[in-house]
Amino acid sequence: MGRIITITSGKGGVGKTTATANIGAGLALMGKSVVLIDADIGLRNLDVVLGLENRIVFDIVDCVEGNCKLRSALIRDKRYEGLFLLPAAQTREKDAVTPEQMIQICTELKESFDYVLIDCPAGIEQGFKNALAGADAVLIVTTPEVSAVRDADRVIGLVESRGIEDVGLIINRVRPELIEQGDMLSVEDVCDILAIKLVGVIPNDDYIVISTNRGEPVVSIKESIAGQALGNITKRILGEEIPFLNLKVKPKGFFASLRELFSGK
Amino acid sequence: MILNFLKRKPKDNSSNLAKARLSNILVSDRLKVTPEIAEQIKRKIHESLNQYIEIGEEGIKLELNNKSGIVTLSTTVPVKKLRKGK
Repeated sequence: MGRIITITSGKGGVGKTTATANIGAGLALMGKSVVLIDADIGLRNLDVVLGLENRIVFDIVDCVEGNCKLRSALIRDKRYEGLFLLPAAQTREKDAVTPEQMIQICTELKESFDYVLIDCPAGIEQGFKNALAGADAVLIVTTPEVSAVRDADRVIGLVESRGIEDVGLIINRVRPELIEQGDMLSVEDVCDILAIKLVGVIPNDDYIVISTNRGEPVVSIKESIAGQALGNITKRILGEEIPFLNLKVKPKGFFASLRELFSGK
Repeated sequence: MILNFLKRKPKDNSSNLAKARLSNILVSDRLKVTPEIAEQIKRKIHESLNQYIEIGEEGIKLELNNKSGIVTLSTTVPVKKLRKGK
């Protein structure tokens, strides 16, 4: 029996889709069978992040309307053994799928896959309710910004009020150098405020932009620190105890600091 | 670095401001109270404690916690010193 994990945030643009794609790819690399569901009907993007946009034939709305079998809407990612995508419809609205239909899809997928990851749309309306309907666990993605943390707090309240107890936190786009100079909320600050279990800390990393441009998950890029962080999240989901990456800024040395002082930075 | 330390006063950073703003926002979000009411609550607590305690300049902090459906309000009152009994 598989496990259904919904990735949500409240605020848009904090990295839900990227996290979903990479955790999915990471789980597949660890030998698990995984389906990623794009619940963002009307604004689908998970297909693009995964580089599968040209292979969509059927989508989730086709499944619920009986135009195709659930199996035939799944797109197999040829690069990752065991990874599948159930794309969202692009020309429909959120209410084209009901929470009951979502539960039905989840129940069916749960029988043949180890993990079902649902990429939730931004907001707390119909799409959010659909994405949460069948969830066993929830991952909240946030960034160390006032607006994102505020929305995360609201979403945590909504998730907990549904009786979902397994709620984890991913803090994305962390910039250690800004934290050190006192200009960014630290990981501890965000954890204190939101008071849920921390599952991952992802540093800001240019490789994310590059890998999204290419449509290739960043977990496969060994040099990428964000890729490593996402790989660690995957392992924590699988129950391994993995220490968090050391994000301390390396001391710059005397001359570099002196130069900075004189250049007025 | 030491040089950075020299350049900046410890309180002069935007993350402290962000944290303070966030905790204020969350009090009103979670309790669904307006900032004015939150201020009133703080003032009332201040008034009633003031006769026993000298309260520090940092001011009273309100914080809401929501653990397994039970919302609790915790207040942090900085104490300068106790006032001598009359």
